[in-house]
Amino acid sequence: MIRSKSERAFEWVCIAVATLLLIACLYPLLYTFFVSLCSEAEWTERQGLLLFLPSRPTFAAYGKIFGVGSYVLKSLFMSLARTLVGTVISLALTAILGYALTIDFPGKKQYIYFLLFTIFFSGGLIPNYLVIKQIGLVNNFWSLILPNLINAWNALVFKQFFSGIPKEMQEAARIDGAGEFRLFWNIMLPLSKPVIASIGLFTMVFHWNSWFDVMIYIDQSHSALWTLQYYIMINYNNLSQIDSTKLPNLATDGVSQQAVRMALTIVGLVPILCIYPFFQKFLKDGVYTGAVKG
Amino acid sequence: MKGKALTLFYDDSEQSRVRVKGLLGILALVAVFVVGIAGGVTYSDGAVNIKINFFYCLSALFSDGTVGYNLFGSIINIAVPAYVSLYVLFLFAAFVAFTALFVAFSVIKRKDAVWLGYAETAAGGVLILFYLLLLTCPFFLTTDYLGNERIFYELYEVSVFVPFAGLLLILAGVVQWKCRADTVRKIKRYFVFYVMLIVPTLLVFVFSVYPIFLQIILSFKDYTLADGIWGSKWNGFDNFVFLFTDKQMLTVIWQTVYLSFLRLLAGVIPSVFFALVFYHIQKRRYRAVVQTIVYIPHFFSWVVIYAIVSAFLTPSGIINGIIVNWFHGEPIDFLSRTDLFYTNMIFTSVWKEVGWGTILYTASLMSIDKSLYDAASIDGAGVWHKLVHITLPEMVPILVFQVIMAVGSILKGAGGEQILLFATSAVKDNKALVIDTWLYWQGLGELKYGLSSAVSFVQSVIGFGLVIGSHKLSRKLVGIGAW
Repeated sequence: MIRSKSERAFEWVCIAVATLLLIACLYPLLYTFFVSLCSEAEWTERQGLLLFLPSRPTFAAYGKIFGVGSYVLKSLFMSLARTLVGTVISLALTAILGYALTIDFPGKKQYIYFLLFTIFFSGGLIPNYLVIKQIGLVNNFWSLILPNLINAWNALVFKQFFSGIPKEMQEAARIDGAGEFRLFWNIMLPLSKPVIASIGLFTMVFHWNSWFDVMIYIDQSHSALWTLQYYIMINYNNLSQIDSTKLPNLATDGVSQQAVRMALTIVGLVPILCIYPFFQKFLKDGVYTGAVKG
Repeated sequence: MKGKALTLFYDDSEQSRVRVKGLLGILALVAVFVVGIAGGVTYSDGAVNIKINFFYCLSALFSDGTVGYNLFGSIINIAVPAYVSLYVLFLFAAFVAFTALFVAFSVIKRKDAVWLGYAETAAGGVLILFYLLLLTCPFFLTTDYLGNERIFYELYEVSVFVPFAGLLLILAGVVQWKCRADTVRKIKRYFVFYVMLIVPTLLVFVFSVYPIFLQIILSFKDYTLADGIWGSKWNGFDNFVFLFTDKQMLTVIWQTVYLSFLRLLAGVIPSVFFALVFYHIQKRRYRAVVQTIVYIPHFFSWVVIYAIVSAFLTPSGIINGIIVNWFHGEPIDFLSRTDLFYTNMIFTSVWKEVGWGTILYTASLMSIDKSLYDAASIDGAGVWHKLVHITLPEMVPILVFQVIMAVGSILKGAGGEQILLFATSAVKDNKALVIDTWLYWQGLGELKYGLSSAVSFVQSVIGFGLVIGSHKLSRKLVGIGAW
């Protein structure tokens, strides 16, 4: 490509602007981490103006939130359980549904229209709540899992991807005597790593980040089922209908309340940062087909 | 073991096809029977809440129309109206008759019985029609256990398994009269795929279709907690009229549209800008690093974002730290200021989504033919000219698509989850009210179930129409559809 001097100059402007965005995205995360390491003495001393690492970093805030009988530990476990169970079952069912939809069985077209209808026409908050209540899932772990098992949109993304796999491979396997489930498991799934990875990532992120359904389906008397995000949320939100006098308070002696809150936030976001690199390489192609083509 | 069932499936003669069809019909009938057993009617009158299964309903026919129940030690007689017993009788009779006829015609005589299919569809229709009548019609009367005359639907709840059984009957009937020989062959061949659909379909029915059904019912009712979903009085279109005439509701709808529109602008403009910026960076490595990192905030929950934002904007946060320490100003409590409420939300959602938003535009930019730029350079075009005459026109289709699709979700795009977190008690009853938050605070919180269902029904209907319309429009204008 032929590039003039002004174009090179322009590129440097672009690099500078991109760097600004980079800092804007990165610094708040670092700042959150810095504050979580700050001791109470230093926090008061600096009057809330901490720009970089504290001069005497301490992990005391983490010690506090993970201390004996800690609520955070329990809710962290619930979050992990929810994410794991929800993602594995949902991926399996959605992939099978997507695979079935690649076959031209009689009634397939109508079935896809039916699925599309359920994507765009939803029952809304109250009816959903009433259904959960009627089938007795209120205050039950499965209220967080079952309604989210089938994501019709993801099933269609799976279908799209499976359709792209050459038919000859499937025919060959069928001639060799493989049954449909075996074909699905041994041929289709290994070829579909990118789409499994990206849908898996989104499902995991969805489950890890969810708090609204915890808020409506699980009340204070069953706080053992609260997930981490919800626990962080009620620590901030003065509008949550939680009787805060009955909440186990986070001990804050020796560390500032701000440090404890930020430590909590870090615990809430680190798992995302941990899984992100594994999926990063799949984001470009997998997600894009999902986002545009459906 | 590999014998009969399999030969049935691989045998391709006309007779076997008829038999398979007959078996499919019987299978559907068994499903109806199971549904019939699982179903029943529930008598609920204040504290008395008794489930009467269908066999008891039948038995009432033979015992002066009542069934006895032990209520706190005393036996009470509950009147099961004759029409309900007859209805149940119809359900079971239809089941027995159709099964017998199927066995006779398809399995034994091996004749294609199309008329059986029609009859079955009709029976399913009658089942559903009568269910709807029981649900809505005030002419069906009954007496409660104290002997007072009451409207049937206020006293009884008919199990939702009944319309489901009706649907199954209709489906089984349609299979009978619509399936020609080659379709039956395909059904046989792809049988295993129908098996794969069972669990997902059940889940979709319970968690998507049934709520829609409840939503439609409730939006025409004046729900009270004591009467429940089925027993509450019908109030026609009152909920909808209220929704479009009440001042607060109109404000809620207006604010939803307004915020969705703001979010549309805030979602598109910065992302397009940064996509262009990334596009003009030739140093691939650096560009990849920047892109990877700016995607990250998209994956954080609003809870985490709120925590981070509060670390910046509260009076003890870093921005106020700078204001106080460096400029010796007064601290500003950004998050509590009602006049900054929308600003805070829009800016934080830009921060969260700007990087992720670029992914779509970057992809469309990557498909631009590079030789266009070379040709332009030879003609003496500068940076600006290339941007305006080559790059931007290439982005128009995807931009149009984005805008049209955002218009399609104008009633859902206000960001309820974020508002629930950012709202303070000062804005809770005014600025923070959009449809989604209203549903939570007032609908769920103050038990306005009927009105809420009407609201989300309207939201769904308009959303559905807009999505289909915008999909078609986008297809027509720029050739990109939503699916």
